[in-house]
Amino acid sequence: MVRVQSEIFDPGDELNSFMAGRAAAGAVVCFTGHVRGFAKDKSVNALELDHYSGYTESEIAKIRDTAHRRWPGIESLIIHRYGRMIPGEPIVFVAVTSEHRQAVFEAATYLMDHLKTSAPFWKKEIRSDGTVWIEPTDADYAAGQDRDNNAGD
Amino acid sequence: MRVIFPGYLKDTAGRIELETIPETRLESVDDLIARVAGDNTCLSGALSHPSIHVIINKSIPAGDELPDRIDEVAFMPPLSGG
Repeated sequence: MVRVQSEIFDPGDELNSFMAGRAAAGAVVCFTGHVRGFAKDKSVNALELDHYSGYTESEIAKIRDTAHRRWPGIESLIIHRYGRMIPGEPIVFVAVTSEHRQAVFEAATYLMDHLKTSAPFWKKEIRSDGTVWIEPTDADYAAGQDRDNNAGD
Repeated sequence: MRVIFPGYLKDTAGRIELETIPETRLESVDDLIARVAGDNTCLSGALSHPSIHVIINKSIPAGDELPDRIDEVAFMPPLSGG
């Protein structure tokens, strides 16, 4: 399932709901990304995240579908927020479950690496010294490329 | 036709989206940019930048030719990622 929403969420509640009734699942990995309160030694007062309604959801679904093809048997939940957020708030949540741990670790990493570089979002940091639009870093791109190269190994 | 300006382009355009009705068929992305930007040379330059991807009817167009019917177009700056 993919959810793109402006509302804040509780990662614990989401994980419990996701795992309810999944008696066959022997492993689950979840990741929650939070809004950082600093960037390049500057304090961040808020983060504004733009998305392209409809397109963003479909692109994230493509990332999810690729992960499910590469790691058959996994199930996943992806939540991503848009709009204005303040430091400490959750911004993204990924949970992956399956029978065994290796697939869920790998798939969760794959999903996050590709959300970081390929999901149609545009971030604006409202810093103490002004506002800045953010682009992915070289390290973000490299992580996604490594995960592509190693997937299925 | 609905035109979407995500990311920093909404600052350049001064709005997140606009509605414009093409009077004639648009032959190319250059035609599209000219129609959308009008006399706004700053916006025209921003939309023409090679880093901007054009999404038409929520899909990446195949090649330079535009579809006969364009309901929605988005000019997407480089992604920030999730």
